[in-house]
Amino acid sequence: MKKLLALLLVVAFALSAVACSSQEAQTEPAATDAGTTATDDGTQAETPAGDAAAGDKTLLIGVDPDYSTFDPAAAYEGWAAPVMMALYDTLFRFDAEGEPQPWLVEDYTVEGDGTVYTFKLREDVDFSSGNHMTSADVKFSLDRIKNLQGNPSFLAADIQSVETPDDYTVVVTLGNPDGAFIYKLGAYSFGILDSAVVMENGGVSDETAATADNASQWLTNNSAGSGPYTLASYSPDSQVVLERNDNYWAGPADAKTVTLLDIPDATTQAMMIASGDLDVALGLNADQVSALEGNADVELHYDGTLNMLFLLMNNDPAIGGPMADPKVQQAVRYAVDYAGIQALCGPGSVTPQTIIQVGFFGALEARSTDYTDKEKAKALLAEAGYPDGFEVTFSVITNSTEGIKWLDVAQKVAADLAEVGITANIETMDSTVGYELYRSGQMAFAINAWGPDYLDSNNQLAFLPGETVGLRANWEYEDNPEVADLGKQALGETDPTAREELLVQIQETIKDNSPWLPLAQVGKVTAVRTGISGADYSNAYMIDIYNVTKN
Amino acid sequence: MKEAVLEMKQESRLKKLLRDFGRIYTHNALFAIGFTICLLWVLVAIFAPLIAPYDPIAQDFTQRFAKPSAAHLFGTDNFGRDIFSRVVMGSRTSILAGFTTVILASIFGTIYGGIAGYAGGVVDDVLMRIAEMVSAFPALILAMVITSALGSSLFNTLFALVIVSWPNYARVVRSMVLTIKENDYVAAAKALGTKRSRILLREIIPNTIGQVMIMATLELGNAILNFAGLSFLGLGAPPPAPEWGAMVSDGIDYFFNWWIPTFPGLAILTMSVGANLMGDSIRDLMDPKLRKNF
Repeated sequence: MKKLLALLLVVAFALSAVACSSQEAQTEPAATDAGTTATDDGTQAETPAGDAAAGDKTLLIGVDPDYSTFDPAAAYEGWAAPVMMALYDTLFRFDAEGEPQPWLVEDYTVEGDGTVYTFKLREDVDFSSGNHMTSADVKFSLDRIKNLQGNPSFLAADIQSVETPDDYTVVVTLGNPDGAFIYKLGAYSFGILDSAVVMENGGVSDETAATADNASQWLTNNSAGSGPYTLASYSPDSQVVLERNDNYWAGPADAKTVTLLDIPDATTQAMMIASGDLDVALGLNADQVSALEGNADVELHYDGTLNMLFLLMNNDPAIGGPMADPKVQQAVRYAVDYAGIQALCGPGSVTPQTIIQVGFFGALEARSTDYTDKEKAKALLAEAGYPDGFEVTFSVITNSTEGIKWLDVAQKVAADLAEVGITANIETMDSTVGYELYRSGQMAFAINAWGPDYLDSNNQLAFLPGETVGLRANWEYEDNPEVADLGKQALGETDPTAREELLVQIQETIKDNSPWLPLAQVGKVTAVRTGISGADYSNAYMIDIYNVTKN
Repeated sequence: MKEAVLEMKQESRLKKLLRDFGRIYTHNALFAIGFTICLLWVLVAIFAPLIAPYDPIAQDFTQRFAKPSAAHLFGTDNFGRDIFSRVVMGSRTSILAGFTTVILASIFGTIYGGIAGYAGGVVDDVLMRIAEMVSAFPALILAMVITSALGSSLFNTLFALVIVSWPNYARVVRSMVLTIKENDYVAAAKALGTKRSRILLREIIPNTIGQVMIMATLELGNAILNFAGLSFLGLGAPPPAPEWGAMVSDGIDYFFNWWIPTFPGLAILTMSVGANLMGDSIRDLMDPKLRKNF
């Protein structure tokens, strides 16, 4: 009888949930009476202080984060970016177009075939501690990221030496020419630390840093930067509180306190922003925000991202079987319904033609959705010797990118392939097993995703034959030596015009001939309360907290 | 002559069973409701292809997130698939899972428990300690471990459910066998020199079947619910197969499109409530202390 009672409870609960959600949808415009609503679900968020005295504004941002540390030389998580960029300044900062612009640097020159960078620093920068920023701090920060051997250290691996001829000049010497070095310096990993404060707390920047440095723990709960905010507190799985740096050299930010609330459930975020318990919601996806459309107090922004979903078709016949045949690979490119994939990935999503995302330096324009041609696909399959199609295992890791489940996109791909006769049997696996198989190149046909490590096309050349990612599809150097060599050439090219030519040449060669099929750069939806501006999605920082203002 | 007597005995048993069933059905409302719900679902499952108006895996991107309407009774999901068709076709997997689990587990558990109880001694100790080891783990967790180790497919999920549910039958049957084997007719069979295996299969186990069937009915609801649970966790048949648990799990991402998780959820609910009502009322009827309505 106990079981029966429990089940009846479940019925009652289910019915009330249904009732609530439909009521929510109907009364939504009225449910904007901020302070009074929405505590019945237990989310006792602070009441939004939109009416607080000017200068004491607070900003509440809903996120579903992955961060675990705020040490620039150790953090390597996507969601750390908005926090890190509020705490630290970098030598270069990305503008709205995704191009790095001098920030802590006034001017710079490149010499010695592109291996020697001389940076002239700004002279008016103070850290939040009151210490003045000099070239010693820059040297300390660059040396520390290189020597700490943390996740982002590979970005600085090629730095041979950092010299400081005077207080405001830094000379960086690289081992090899690198056309993307300035782009790398825009990453939050190169945030400039207040060397005096960090050293006081156990920071070390020389070769012994990997073992001798003890500052990471301190930097997780405190900040030592020159950024517009300082870290007031960090409670893992709960919230991050940022306090404004009133003496910020570029002018103080608008909100006095910024709180990033950790809310993993997208539906909860949608309900909280509808009722005014959040100012900005970042953890939503397009299909989930339908209930917010038409709400006069919430604005929805749809943007593209650089996070790309792609298909891997193993180039090794022993593993990929039919998928290793270039004709079959091309047939798959014709079979996929890109318009449908983009519908799943949300407004703002686009399909790049190659493994270099739209928006990157030198990228080709997006692939037209008219590219889909099932007849051509069938003809190619017949030509390849599979007039009746074939069966293949489709490996899908149960993961998601910006709220888009890989499994959902995979089901769409499988349905598209079924129309041309290819039976793709979905095999789901969790990430511990899946990534192992993926990285060792054991998957015949798979879906995966890629978010760039730094914002430059060079990052994407890892997909070329013989390179790290290329080998995951068993795309060996010998399979296409010309493209592989072009890739190596592009990596070392520092002249922008020549670099662009090389990149275009690479893409033209591989757009219809490679084991990769980029499906879409997924869209990102940001919901903000009216009166909030500057909360646009940015590829570099997700959201640039310094720019956000509240009316 | 002996065979003929047995036939008669069995026929009268069947008649008695039908008569009992008729009496229970008319006198016990809970049983009647549970049985009717289950019967309806079984009929739906049998005639599923005739009832479902659409192909349950056909995607239609022009019809994404359609609200329930005449064209789509239960609305459509994020692929524009018809939820009504998916719920109807999904009943096949759920019922198949429920019955297969219960039948296989009860057969294996009965034979296992029978051997343990009849053999006694060291054999009994060893066999029952093994059964206890299996049942010491929480059922759903153990099933999850087995399914994720073997990879998710319908067959593996059913295998896991059988593995976690047979010890119950084994325990009950063993304790029944301990009493039954002391009966005079068993002693008589022994005296006649009948083989031990024959005694077990012909004299002892048939006498446990009534109790085992009651247990099986009770377990049916559990099996269906456990299967839905595993499929909710992504451990059932791989997509796009229509499975209720997986449909609910997909649907919770679209909370505002309430019809996506609600209808498969209601299907799980009615089916397991039906099976539980049936099982509970039969158990109550068999328990002399609770036998009032009979």
